[in-house]
Amino acid sequence: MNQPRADSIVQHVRTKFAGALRGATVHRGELTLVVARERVLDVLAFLRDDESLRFDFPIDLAAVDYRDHPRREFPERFAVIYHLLSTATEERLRVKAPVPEDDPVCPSAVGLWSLANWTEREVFDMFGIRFDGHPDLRRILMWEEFEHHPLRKDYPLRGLGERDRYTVVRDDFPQAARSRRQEPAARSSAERGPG
Amino acid sequence: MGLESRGGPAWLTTRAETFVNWARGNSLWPMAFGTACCAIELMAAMVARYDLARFGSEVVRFSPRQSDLLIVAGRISAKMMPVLETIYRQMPEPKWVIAMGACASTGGEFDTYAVIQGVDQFIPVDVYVPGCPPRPEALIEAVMRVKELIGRERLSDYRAPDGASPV
Ligand code: SF4
Repeated sequence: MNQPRADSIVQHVRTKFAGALRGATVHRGELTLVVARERVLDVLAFLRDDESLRFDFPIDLAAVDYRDHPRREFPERFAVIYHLLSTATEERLRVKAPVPEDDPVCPSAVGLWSLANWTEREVFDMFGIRFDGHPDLRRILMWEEFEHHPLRKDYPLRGLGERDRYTVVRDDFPQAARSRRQEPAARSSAERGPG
Repeated sequence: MGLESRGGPAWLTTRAETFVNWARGNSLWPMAFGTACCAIELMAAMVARYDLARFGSEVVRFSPRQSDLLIVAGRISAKMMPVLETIYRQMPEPKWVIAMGACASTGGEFDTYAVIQGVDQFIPVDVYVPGCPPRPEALIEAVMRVKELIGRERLSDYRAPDGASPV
């Protein structure tokens, strides 16, 4: 997207949502809008339905944990990020909705696109951001009993022992057969047995 | 021995145990548990170029109840482990397990919260195949090792639930 087109989109959104648009950047031809989470659904609906924009296809919905990020654009720790594509103009657009750590809630976009259903569940699973109005906000990747949100930057890469806490299968195999198998490999063909 | 000398070259005497092991070792039915890239090499080992069928293991059963060799090919996440355990339990005795590749054996390069660091922590593994992924020849070598283990089997190690010996 070229600069004049980006400027006109930003202008278009700003006239409609003066207070909600917190920032806009163009980086290598990619336009990103930062929108207050309270109004993000209105902005998304406008981007989808406006005749001149028609950003009607949500390619992806993700989140970022900006903890310890060297160049933060906003004070909130998290942001829910919507990647939109216009099937009419083939332009792409990114919308960020900052979400604070102490109140990790964002309105659910399932009402706008049912595609948002599973992606919002993934964001909830990985970051612990709850989506207000989501019809079925359960974990989608981690198992139900998992207690943490592993893509948060303060969660250790190796986890907190979940992967080792699985119960071991009781080895009720006959002990004599088990120990016979564990003897060192016999390399001579005489010892190899039939085969 | 006696029978052979009386019956001519058409006769061969052996022990029942040896015969059973010989038959078992040459008709292994693998249960392929492929969860990642290693499964591609597993498939390559099965099809024409490497042709595991030459060694009697071509009948890949995706039903654990009909198989006696579990090949774990790929990384196992903590969420997948209960599935693998169930499949292991559903296989009838005697059964053998191959951990194919770095991931199944140790977790491989995926030292993360979600990946089991070696399935041998939770189910007994008989043969490990190194590599990322192991070449089909390596898997064939592992099947040969399993055959070798089968040669050590003694029928008297197994007992019926009432304690009776099978021989
Ligand atoms: S050992 Fe390598 S090839 Fe095999 S599953 Fe792991 S990453 Fe893939």
